[in-house]
Amino acid sequence: MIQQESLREKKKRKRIGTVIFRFLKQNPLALFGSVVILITILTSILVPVLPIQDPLHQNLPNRLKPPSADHLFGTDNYGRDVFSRVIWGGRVSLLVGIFSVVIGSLIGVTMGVISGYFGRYVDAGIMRITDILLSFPALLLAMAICSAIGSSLWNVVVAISIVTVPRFSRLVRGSTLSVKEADFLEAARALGQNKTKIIFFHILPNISSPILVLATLWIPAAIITEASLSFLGLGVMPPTPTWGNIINEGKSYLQNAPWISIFSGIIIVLVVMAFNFVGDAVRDAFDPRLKGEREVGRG
Amino acid sequence: MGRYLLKTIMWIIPTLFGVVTIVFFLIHLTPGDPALAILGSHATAEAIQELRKSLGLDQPLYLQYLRFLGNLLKGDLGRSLVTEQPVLLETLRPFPYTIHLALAGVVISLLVGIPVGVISAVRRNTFLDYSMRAASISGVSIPVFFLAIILLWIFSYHLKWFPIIGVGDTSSWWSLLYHLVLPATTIGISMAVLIMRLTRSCMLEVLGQDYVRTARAKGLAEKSVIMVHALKNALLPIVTVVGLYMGQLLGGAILTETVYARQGVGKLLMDAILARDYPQVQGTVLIFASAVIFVNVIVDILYRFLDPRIKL
Repeated sequence: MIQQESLREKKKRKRIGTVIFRFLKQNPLALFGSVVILITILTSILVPVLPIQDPLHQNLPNRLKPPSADHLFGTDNYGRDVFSRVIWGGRVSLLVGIFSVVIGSLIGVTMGVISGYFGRYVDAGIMRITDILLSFPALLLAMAICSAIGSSLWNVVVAISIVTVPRFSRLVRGSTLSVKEADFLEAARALGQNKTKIIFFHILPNISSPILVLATLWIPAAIITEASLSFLGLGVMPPTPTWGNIINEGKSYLQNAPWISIFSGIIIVLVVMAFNFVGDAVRDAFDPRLKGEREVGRG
Repeated sequence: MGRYLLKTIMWIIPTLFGVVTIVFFLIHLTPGDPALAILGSHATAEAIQELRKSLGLDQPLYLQYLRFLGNLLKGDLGRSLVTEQPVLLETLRPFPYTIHLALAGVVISLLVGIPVGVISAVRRNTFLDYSMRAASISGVSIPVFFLAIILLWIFSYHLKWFPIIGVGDTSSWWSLLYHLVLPATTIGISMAVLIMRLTRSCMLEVLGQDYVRTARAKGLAEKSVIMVHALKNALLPIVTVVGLYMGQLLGGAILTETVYARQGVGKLLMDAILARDYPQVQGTVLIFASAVIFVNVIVDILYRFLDPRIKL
């Protein structure tokens, strides 16, 4: 019995593997995106042991030097190595991007399911909050929160999570409503299953694909929002490097040392594009109706 | 019609109230004493107490909130701590520059986005379509502030075609326009990529409709089929979504104004945040958010007017 179970598990896993493989084979852009994302995540995890220079080490005689063999992306106004700052900055930017979407989606999904499943006053209350949060421009709300609670890594995560929540709760409420009346739920209720079980075993599995799609499309949006906050000086504070604050620091030296801002910006574009490629492909595969959802994420 | 308008108003009031409440408590949650921040650490305890009293900060939070609501109903947003002028006036002064920027940006994005989207849809799955889609997905991935920096670097620092900072000489419209080119292009490009994607998908949908096939079957020229029968019907959702991009547009304006040091509302907000001028921050955020709410409502009403299928 146990053996059978594990065999079935193995078969299932293999099937998922082939599905992903086939999916990537059919979508060269998604394949390119996944490779870039994988490299970025790996370097972000391994950066402490990578043989690169200290991103905080100042070397004033060597300031504002153009890219060379020693300093691939040149040096900044304190003589710090821009390449290593960009790599370390990626660690922060990626962490904020992924964490805030994870936290924001967890809260948003919970709110959405409760709202859709229980309806009535609970629904009205939660949707009112969602409406109010959605009426703020995303960047403005994040700016207001950051300026109120102060700028630290986790505060930026909190700010971007709050911006993310209403997007998920609205989507999940709609999806919950659409599966709520399905026959299999009726059957589960008739069998006397309790509400928690119905939500976890029947509703959530059936609405997981739009959630996954929205999450893949929101990670790049969160990365851009983090970069924008840091660029405005409201995000993670220097000397800790993030992509946004490197560009901000380089802005004053655009005339003599454009490489500080430009390289870091190119890396943001590359990584965000990689997430967008994957997100687009995932969306087309799962749910073509979601077209246009990503557009809310910028700004 | 009347019922719909009533419903909309019933939606606006609690939403605005919620926005006001969130902004108020967010600002008043800020750790640190604003009076201390204004006077600096050298101030005497009495001076700080005095200022706290004159700002009403010595009262309990709920009283401050009620007073804030009361003043708001009278159109009073308080006074800026830096300039000591009414916040409303301070915010309205740079408003024209932000409106110029936003309008010019929208015009550029429509002029670029719609034709490119139409061509992309009509020449679907050709090399032209692929390259336009590739350009648009790269465009979507560029943060607005980085786009602004690249344009600034190429056209102002390298080619020296355009000025680097500011809105220009306010008495001459030529100078204003000249200073507007790069910032408006930044906003224009960042919106055009979205509009292009949208136009393409709307056009593809419309081109598959029966009335387009009928028009073709009648033997109409392809040009008039596309321009008259297809585009006219695709424009409606495009216009609506442009309205819904308002929030994003304002976010983009804040970033663009910061890069080009334009004295618009976005820069006013940034300066107020950095100076810890909390009444100004509060007022600017409120005005921004209300503007977005109102534009969304207006777009919604317009949509209902323009689309005969929706009964009011």
